[in-house]
Amino acid sequence: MRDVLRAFGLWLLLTVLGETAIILGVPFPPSMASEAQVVDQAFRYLLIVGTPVFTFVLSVLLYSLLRFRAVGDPPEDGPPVFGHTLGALAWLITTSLLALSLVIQPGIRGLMELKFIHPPAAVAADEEALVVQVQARQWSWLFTYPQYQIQIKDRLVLPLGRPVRFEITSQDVVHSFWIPAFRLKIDAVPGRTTFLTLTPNQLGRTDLEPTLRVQCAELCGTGHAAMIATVEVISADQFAAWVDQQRKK
Amino acid sequence: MRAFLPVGRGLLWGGIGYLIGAGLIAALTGHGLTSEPALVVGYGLGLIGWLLGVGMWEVWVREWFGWPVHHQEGGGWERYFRFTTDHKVIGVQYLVTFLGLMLVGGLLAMLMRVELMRPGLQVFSRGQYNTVMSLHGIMMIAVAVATIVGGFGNYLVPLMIGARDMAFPRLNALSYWLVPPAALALLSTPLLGGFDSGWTAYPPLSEINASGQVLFNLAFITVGLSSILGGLNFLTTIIFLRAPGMTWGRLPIFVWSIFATSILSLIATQFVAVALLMVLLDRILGMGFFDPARGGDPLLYQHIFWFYSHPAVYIMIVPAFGVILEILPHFARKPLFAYRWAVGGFFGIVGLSFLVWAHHMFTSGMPSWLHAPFMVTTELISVPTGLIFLSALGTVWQGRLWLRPPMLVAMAFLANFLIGGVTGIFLADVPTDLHLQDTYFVVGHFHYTILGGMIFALVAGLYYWFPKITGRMYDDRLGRIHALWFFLAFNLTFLPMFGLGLYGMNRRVADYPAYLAGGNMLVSMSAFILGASFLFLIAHLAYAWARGPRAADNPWRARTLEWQTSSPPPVENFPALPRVVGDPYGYGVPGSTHAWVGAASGE
Repeated sequence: MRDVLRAFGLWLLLTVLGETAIILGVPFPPSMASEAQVVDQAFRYLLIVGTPVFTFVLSVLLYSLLRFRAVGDPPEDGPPVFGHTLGALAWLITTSLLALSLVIQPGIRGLMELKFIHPPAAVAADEEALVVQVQARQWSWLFTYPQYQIQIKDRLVLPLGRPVRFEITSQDVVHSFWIPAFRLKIDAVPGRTTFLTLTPNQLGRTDLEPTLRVQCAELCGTGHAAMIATVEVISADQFAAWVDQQRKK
Repeated sequence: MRAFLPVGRGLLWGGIGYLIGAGLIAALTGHGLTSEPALVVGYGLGLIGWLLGVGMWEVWVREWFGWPVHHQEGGGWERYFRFTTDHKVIGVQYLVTFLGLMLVGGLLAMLMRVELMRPGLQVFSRGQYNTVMSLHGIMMIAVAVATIVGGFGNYLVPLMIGARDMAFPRLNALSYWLVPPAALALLSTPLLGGFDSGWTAYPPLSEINASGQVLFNLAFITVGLSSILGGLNFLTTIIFLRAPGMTWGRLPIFVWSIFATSILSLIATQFVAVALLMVLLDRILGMGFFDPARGGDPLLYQHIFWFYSHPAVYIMIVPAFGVILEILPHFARKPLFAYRWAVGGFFGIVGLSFLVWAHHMFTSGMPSWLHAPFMVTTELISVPTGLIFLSALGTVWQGRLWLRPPMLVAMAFLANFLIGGVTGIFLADVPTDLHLQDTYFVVGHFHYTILGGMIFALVAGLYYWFPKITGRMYDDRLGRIHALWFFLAFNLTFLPMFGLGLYGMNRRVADYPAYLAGGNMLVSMSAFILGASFLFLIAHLAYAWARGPRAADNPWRARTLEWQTSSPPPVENFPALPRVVGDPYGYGVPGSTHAWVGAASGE
């Protein structure tokens, strides 16, 4: 009994330490789109829920290593405990409930918050959205703005605060369209179009914030590591000016 | 020199087989001996030639037709180079071969870390890096799939169930001798331009890259065949060859883990063979299974591939759980806690592992309504895994922990796999996976489960069974120093990867933006220390095998059957058929016995 209490104390201590560290702040990279918040919140939530589970197992292991070391070589036999059905059942039910709770929050709740999973038709109806067609190929990105008849290579320019709908295709192999600062990615698959919807909510550009870049995330051959496009998020006015300038070209 | 005759003849006949096959195709098509169709047909005939030359000619052909056969059984180290049917020899063949492959794969990892020490390209071109990375991946996958099952499984399962050999000893030898040509094919991929599609070989990339890809597919299919045959053999052996009294409830937990794994090997491996074969058919005959221009679909490949390759990670980890749960009771001097629940955990994992494959594809562009169901099944797999941890923690709790090298590495396994499991939740949950998929977070996670898990279990098992297999003992203090070194270097190498991934380092890259340089330097430095720990381990064990003091028959005072015979065991394993009368883990139970061996069993 004394061992149980002490190990429980160790568990509490480690858990409080862990949770405090999480609450004081997880050093996330900059989050530059409203959708990124959903991902970061889910990440933080999983850390908070995962910590007691982690520290529980760790406490039992650590406590056993410290307190249950054998004396003598070879040691005496320990107590013949084979396990209790009720204890195992309780463990089974606890772990099942924990797993199911994580499915609901942050899993399914997060999915519902991300427009990502909405059918493309629902997003298309949103006329305010900027449409960017992304064509991936070995090893560059071609961005087309059909609303403005602009086409530009390896450089993505987005206005602040306006929803963007990416329509992504590939001309050769499977690539993956990922902007770390926006936290979302989706593969570019030859023969089909995939979609990603997000709203940039921070100004920035790649040379100042390197996580704000388009990075191919699916192995696509020799040039995979270098398949990068720069990203600029600029104000709506600047974007209008940029559009005019591009169309004159 | 005579010792190498069978292998030499295998190489010669294999070479002749290749020349006949490739020559025929070259004559028919007018292309060279290394055109892709020539490679496939040549490899097929070469494989048959190799198998016949190395020993199947005697054991299968001459015997079948009743022609005179010269058996070469017995002998010292020479028997390890022959087509031998003794499960203990085959077990050692597997162990040594795959430990060798592990060192080669590890060397490739060191080269990758040299390249990644700094941003920019230092050692390799981008293409070379991709080939090195892909080779590292597939070689370590093979090591993870085959070393515990093929090595410990072959050596120990017949011993632990009180049998003389496996159910199909010749099939067993065939399973092993399929491995060297596959290894040779993989190592010769750089001669054909390498292959740069990783071990996952996603089309269309794997259908348009260099011809090294063809050798990769053929090698993978060959190892898969070996794995399927092994699964069949283990299932039959465990069902039919248990000694009298070895009921299912008295089966050592390691045997249970091999039983559960074999179900996966037998059933799931066939799917990856199909996927890789379809890629070959696309390349050579232009079938267009995965080519959208011909009505195919690249995502189809990913579904078939992961339908095997997720169960495959349980082919790697379930035997590792088996090794660890086997070691814990003997070194905690307590019965295995919740034994029947742990066995239930194995089968829960086996069943669920067929229903989770699409969690590798959350960002693949598959229909988004599939996200939720695969997230549910994936999160649920933590429940049977939790039962394994219940068993482990319950066994350790209030035990008399005997902290010898096997036990230290087993405890390190539990800590590592805990981190591997907890980080897995971030990848199973779709919202976080959308960011983390294909980053170093994934690299960190699967190295925690495969290296921190499966390879740690392999090392724990090596320390545990080394005296039985070699009849020699290693130095205990060096073993304990290595255990600590291994554990610290491993964690220093892979813990920073979670941060790198979160901050935007994608996987399988030869180069990265400059802001990630600090973390990568730390990872590289730690990786070199980790690599050195493997050299130390192998050197220590090799020295102990050659020069170490003689080991006792049962140095750990363990109760299971493999320890109730001499070290190393005689060819027939036991002087007489053992009789099993009780629990294998009944430590602390007065008067409890697992089995009667030897004269006492004669009655």
